[in-house]
Amino acid sequence: MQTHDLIEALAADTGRVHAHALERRLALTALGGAAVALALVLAWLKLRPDLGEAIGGGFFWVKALYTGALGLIGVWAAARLARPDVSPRPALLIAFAAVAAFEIVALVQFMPMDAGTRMAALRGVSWQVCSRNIVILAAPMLAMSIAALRWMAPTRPMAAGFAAGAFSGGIAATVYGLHCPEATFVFVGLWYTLGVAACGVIGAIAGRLALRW
Amino acid sequence: MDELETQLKRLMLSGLDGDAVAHRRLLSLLSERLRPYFTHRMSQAPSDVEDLVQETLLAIHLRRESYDRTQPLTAWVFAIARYKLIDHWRRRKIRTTTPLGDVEAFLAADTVASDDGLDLTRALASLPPRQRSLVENVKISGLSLSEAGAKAGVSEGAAKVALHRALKLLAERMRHANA
Repeated sequence: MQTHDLIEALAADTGRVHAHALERRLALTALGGAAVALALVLAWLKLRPDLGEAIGGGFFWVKALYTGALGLIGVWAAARLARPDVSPRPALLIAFAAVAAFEIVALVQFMPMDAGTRMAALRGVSWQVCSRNIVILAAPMLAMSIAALRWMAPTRPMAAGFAAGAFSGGIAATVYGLHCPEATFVFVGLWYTLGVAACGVIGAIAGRLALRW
Repeated sequence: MDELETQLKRLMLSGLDGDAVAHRRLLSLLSERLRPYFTHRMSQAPSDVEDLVQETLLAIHLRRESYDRTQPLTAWVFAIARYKLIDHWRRRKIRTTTPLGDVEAFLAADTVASDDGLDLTRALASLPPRQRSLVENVKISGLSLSEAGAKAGVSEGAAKVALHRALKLLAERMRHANA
């Protein structure tokens, strides 16, 4: 097949592209992914019984702010990596700063505790399921994010996949806060962070498999 | 060189707004730049040059959403071309020290004659018959989408969707043609 024939076929497929198509697609992914995660929480995990009270307290929002920030930084990195040859560096630096800040507060909370309290703080009531639940809630959104990135031109497929995973994990973890009653920096700093990081790793593997072009 | 960037970017922006004539002109101008770029870097396998040109044109077309309108168009195109070249080297296990060049060298290209793309021909042959006839009808006889759709027995809207799918599938198949 001749190149000019191919060009004719491509020209016949000229569609309109919205000025902010990339941002729009990622925003839709966030909405869709959050909706699916919310449906899963409502149908499977259930809302925490004291949600009404918790919303009035400070830590509920601290937790939401932390995981929400991870999701936003993830989508920022994904939007950069979706374009060929754009460096994710600024997003990486901010991500590092956000996690470090949270972990420092967690350490400050952790250090003065005696051995028994430390274990109790690390385990909370749900340490065995926390990270896993976040990964499960994030899985549908991760699939949507990878599908969205397949419209783009990521020249670093694994990094783009990792960003998509952090994006999905951060949003899913925020929704998970509607179920999870844990309320310490130590617990969230460990298990929530691990959950989101696991989503990133799964995303990187998915990126390697599905984002090459 | 700035003049070229201005011209290409204007065509791209019109194409993004749905202007098929501008889009065709853009792809055709770009193919003239891509061919010598790849030719100079594919001396081990000159027969692959046209395959790479076509793969790159498909990627440029299918991944238009990733273009940031505030940035130079030629840099975006060059990044895609370079990615395709590296991907090609990796898939064919070509070890080379050929420099990838930069966007200036890419723009200052001379002309090289084109030839048939074997991978694309093969990939096209592997498509389901209805999709294949759609691609063939819009390219060879320059039929409009509605005419080509009518020949394949579908509405214009359905033909539009089917053509886009066919092109995506074509890009996939091409990439795996010789992997």
